[in-house]
Amino acid sequence: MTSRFSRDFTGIPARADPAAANRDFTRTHSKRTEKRTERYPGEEEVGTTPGTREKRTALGGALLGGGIGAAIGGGLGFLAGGPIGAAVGAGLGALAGGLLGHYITGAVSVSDDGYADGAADSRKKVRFNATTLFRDPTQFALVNWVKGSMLDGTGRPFNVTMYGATVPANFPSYQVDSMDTDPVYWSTPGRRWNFHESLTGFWATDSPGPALKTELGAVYNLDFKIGLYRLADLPAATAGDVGGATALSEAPWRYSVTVDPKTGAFTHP
Amino acid sequence: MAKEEAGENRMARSAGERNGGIDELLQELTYWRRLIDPARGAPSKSTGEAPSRIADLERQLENRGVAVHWDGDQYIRNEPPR
Repeated sequence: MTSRFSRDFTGIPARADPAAANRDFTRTHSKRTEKRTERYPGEEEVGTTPGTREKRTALGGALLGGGIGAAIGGGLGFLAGGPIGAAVGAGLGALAGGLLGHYITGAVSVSDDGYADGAADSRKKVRFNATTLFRDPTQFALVNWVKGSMLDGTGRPFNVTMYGATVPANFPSYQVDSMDTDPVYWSTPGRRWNFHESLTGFWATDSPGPALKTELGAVYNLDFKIGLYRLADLPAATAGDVGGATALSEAPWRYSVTVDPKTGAFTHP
Repeated sequence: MAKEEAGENRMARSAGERNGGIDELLQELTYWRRLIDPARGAPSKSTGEAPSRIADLERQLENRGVAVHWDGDQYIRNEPPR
């Protein structure tokens, strides 16, 4: 059926050519990608690979923030309470500064991580919160990683779509979790960055499964970790990894549901 | 509505507007739905990327007062009641 949508949005087959999607993305975002040449506090060009640079950037942000915080806290503490006040102030200042430095560098956290067990299914709608503070959020992206399995009552894995192909949901080690070949979470053929901006960065959600009460004996045992990356470091296509890119921050979460083989009751080991 | 939630919705709206209009939201919704459509041979299970984005896009459309339905091939705007 030819329609306005099928002309503009070709669906799964279009992803067979990830380069085409990336060309579209590059055209849309090239100005943002190319313009950034300045450095930020705690960021220094120390490594030859993106991963090395990101690790040191994250550490540098926290250390710089901690150092500045310690100095300010120590000074204020000395004024308020002499040497003891200075020591306490320095400690608190280092802690606050370190946290601030960490978030300035970029951080991701998980919220709404509870299960909603209904009469028919067990769901989860987890939220990923990326903090980029004063930096352009579209310079960053989330990549979700998955490890584990979803097995039916006979022990056979359910199928899922991964990188455009149907595969058994049985992943012995962490790999990128993406329906298409672009590792960026929520990416589409026409646009890589589809997150929601927030006051401090951006966010997205995830909702695996669902486990059904009728799937007697099924075991859903998936470990995830959501990672915050610099978008420019991520490859346009993945077969399971992200090349040399290293996460600025990662947060683990799980989808763990067992369906009782007799009653269909849900538990979350 | 909490102040933070109001601010967040405002940000979400502005992001949606920057990313395109209702037609673009419908196109993206159609893209994700096709990926998990059993009628197209898609698996019934998912690690969650498509279902979460579908729920998110439906919420964005609902916030704009747009009701839609899936016709088996694409998402269509509901006709306004006469």
